[in-house]
Amino acid sequence: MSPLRTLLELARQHRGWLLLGLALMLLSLAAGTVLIALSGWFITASALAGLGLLIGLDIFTPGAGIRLAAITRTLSRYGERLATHAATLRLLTDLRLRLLDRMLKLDDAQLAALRRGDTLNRLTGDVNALDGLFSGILGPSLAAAMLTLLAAIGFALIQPALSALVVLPLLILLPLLCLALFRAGRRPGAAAVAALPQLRTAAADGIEGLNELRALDRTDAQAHAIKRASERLGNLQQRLGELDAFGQSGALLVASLSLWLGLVGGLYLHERDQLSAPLVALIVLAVLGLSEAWQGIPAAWRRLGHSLAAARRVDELATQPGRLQVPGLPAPWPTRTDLVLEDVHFGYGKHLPAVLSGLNLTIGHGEQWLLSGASGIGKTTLALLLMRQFDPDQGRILLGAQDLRDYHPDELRRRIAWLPQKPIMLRDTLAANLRLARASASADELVSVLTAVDLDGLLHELPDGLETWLDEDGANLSGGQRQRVALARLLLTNPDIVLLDEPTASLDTATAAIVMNSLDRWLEGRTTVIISHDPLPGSTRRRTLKLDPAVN
Amino acid sequence: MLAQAGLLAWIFHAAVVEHRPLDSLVYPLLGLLAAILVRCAASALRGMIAARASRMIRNKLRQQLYLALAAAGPRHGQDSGHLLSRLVEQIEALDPYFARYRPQAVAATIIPALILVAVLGVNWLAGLLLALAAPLIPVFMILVGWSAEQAAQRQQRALGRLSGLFHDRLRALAQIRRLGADRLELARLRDYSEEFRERTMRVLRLAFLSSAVLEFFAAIAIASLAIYIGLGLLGFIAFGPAAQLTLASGLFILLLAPEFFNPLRQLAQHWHDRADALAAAADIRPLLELPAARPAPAHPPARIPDYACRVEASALDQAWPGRRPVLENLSLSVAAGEHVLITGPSGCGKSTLISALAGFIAPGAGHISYDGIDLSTFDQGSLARSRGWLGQRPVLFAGTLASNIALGKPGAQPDQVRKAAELAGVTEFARHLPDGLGSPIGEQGLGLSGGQAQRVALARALLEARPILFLDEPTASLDELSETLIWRAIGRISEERAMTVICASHSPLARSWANRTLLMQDGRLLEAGP
Repeated sequence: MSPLRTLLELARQHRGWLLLGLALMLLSLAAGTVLIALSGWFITASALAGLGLLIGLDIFTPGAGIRLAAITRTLSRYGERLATHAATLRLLTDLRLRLLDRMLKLDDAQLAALRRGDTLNRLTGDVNALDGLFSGILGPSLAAAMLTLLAAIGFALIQPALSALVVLPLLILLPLLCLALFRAGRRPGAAAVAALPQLRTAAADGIEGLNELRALDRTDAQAHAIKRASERLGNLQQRLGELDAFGQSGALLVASLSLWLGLVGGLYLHERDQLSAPLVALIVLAVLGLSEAWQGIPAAWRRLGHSLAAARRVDELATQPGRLQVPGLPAPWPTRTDLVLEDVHFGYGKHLPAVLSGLNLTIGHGEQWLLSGASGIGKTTLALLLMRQFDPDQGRILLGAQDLRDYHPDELRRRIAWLPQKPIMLRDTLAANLRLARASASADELVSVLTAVDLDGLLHELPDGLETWLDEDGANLSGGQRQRVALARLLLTNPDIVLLDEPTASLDTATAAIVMNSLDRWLEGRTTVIISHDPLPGSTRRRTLKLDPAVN
Repeated sequence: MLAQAGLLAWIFHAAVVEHRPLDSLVYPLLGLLAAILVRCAASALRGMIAARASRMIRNKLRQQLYLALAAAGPRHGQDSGHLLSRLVEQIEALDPYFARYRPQAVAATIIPALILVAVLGVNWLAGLLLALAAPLIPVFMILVGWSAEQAAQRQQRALGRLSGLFHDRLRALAQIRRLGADRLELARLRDYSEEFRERTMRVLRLAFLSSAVLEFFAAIAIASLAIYIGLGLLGFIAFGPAAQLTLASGLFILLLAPEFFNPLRQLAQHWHDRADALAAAADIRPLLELPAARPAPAHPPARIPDYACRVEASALDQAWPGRRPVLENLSLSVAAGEHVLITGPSGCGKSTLISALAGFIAPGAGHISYDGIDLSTFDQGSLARSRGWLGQRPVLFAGTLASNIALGKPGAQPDQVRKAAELAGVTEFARHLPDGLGSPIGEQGLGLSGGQAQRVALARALLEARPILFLDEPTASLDELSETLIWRAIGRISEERAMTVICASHSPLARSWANRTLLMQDGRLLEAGP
């Protein structure tokens, strides 16, 4: 299937703006060509008339034409820039929303994999790289080709043979040049895209491991490694830069040769009285105008490979199939949400040791369990299995006497609440971040959940209260405050099963007690698993399971 | 280019006005062809040289920046994400500047000037017209800069913010969905984008207007020149140099007119490259000027310790700007082979002391010596051969367990690596991995727990026997079990190898291992018992 499918579909939706942009682009290029060609014709005709070689020259029509072309060029260029930018902004917005929409079909583990490393940055970058596809590459190419064809038709009306002589090199050689650059640029372009993460890794190792490297006197060696990665990227970029230069000069050369042919051919015909001198000037100078239209196109085609690769990656990510099997006929939600693990084995991959091997556990409906144990022992993994972010390698997990795999993943997500160790905050207001959990929540409700997690003090300190804007990752809040905002958000939901990963890890003991107290009341009647390697302020009904390598 | 225009105009004139046969114009025509080839070659060469220069400048700068950061040590008060983006992306942002903007800026000053001179030489009135259309090049440049910068920056910022919103929601998608807010959030995102687009378009309508002015000047100048030349040739204009106009000179001027404006128009397109590069350079420059954490000695020391030796420090002072002194007249004497534990609440300066003793930073005042040799005479190489070091947060590099252990000595024998792995307790868990010590570990030691990663780092520090070992909170971020394993390994090592060990830790488990414990308080050390 074509990698550009998504994009073309979107382009069709916005074809009005795109076509308007294209038309204006063509108009402005055409006006520019007419301006210079008509001027040439006019000067030549005037010179001949001045020498008495041409009689009855109407000076007003061409004069007006020249002025009209000048003004048309300016206006249409202005309009073109507005139209293409409007189209680009609309297109990108739609593309992003559509992408998010498709991503919603992926499961949590796939989305988590996206967050690791470079993938997310690359996806964002790839979408951005697509902004130039229509306005920077395809649009101008089409406009230049159409202008050339128009010129060909125009010349042909004057002198068919000369038209062929002048336009054919343009129409044959320039597209060939574009294709050549597209092909030549693809491999180094892709290599450059791959070389950047390598440089990033070398630089990240060098910066994050600076102490280690300094201790072992390896900073020079790391500087060398960075230099090598940088050289590799630089060489590829230089190659691309050279291709651009080659493309630009190539286009200039082809256009200039065609101009030269036009001059020679035109003068030859003129000598035989088959073509008037002003028309020769018109054709020669029109080629000059065409040459301007083609100037940046080959280099743009060199980048086309980059845009296409970006489009392909975007499409791949967006059409990635879900990893977990979805049952054909999902089981109805049970009235009792007991969780039973039967001989559960799980590992993250062949190269890694098993995390759980043969775990048995029964968590009754409405019970509250505390899972403790050393880090790396598999506590978080167990929670991920309970949410069915992964399936066990062996054994099974039952929810209300049915296998977890019998429920629809959407149902599981709706009914099971999960507080991760590092909750994510949106770049938005505090209120909007809370209302993710319940869009209809009133300001009073928001204040009351914030009070429940001991954040009413913060609320008074914040400059705009609930409407205070949170930075990326809630960077303007402390770790403990972020965790409590996430808890407050949780209190607005109404799940049947609750999984909490280290809910009090960054809170001091006094705050932890307040928070756990509020939480405890809310947790009543909900089947709960709390993961913590710190002891938690007490609850009478809580049961504890200590995972250790010997038992599981 | 001038030759090309001149020849073209002259040939045309000769053929049309003087009726010279085409045969007699072969040489000029070939000359025109040559001029075309030279011009294209020069343009290609210019692009290639610019690409090459940009690559060399960036490579060199990146190397320099990393070495400056390495010399300044970890105490530059910046988080690693920002430093990383400077070292990678910000330096990349300089590419368009060096490869495109700079050459174009030179072209935009020289080419219009040359053309102006040429046109003035042929017809001063036409030249004047050009000069009037571009009132004064510098003024014009400012206009270009102002308008293009506005437009480009607004547009970049708009795209940047939209892309930021997208990135943000994409990152949080799983959590948004779990909270059941996915549909709502998509709708909100659309509203944001729409509102944003409308605002941006309003700004762009104005910003593009100013660059349209430049286009307008260019177009009008060409049009008026054409009409002036035409009327002049017709003999309608009686004043000035119009009478001397010929078809050749008229055509020459007309051919050059667009070229006069072209470099300026292209410069306007590259203007945002300049703004980006200036912003990047402003971020990078202060990093290049960071002072070194420790001045490098002119010569390596004549002798370095080769067996467990004493470590002495006298009258150490250290203060960071805006805070009370961390070390104050601190003295310390550790005997050869002794195991000393330094305790104290977090933030009391234990790490600073270890950094000074291990030679990462030069203390504000005072002296440190290993085996009686002044520490300030040690270069990085002799330091690395004299002491091992283990910090609180292990950093694992992309590679295998073995390559991480052998970081300090890439050619190390497998036996030596195995021995270090054994000592540090890496073998205990590596045994269960299918590839053992050859197991790949990802970014930031993906797949290893904190305790396991720390044991790898310990093995790294122990790869080669060193007279002195410094431990800086080696178990700060570990759970109890992992902590026990680390201390057990450290205990085993101190029995097996004769080393002077100085450890900073507030862990109660550390006491059982030390010969002597010192308490750090108000920048000094107090004896706290055995």
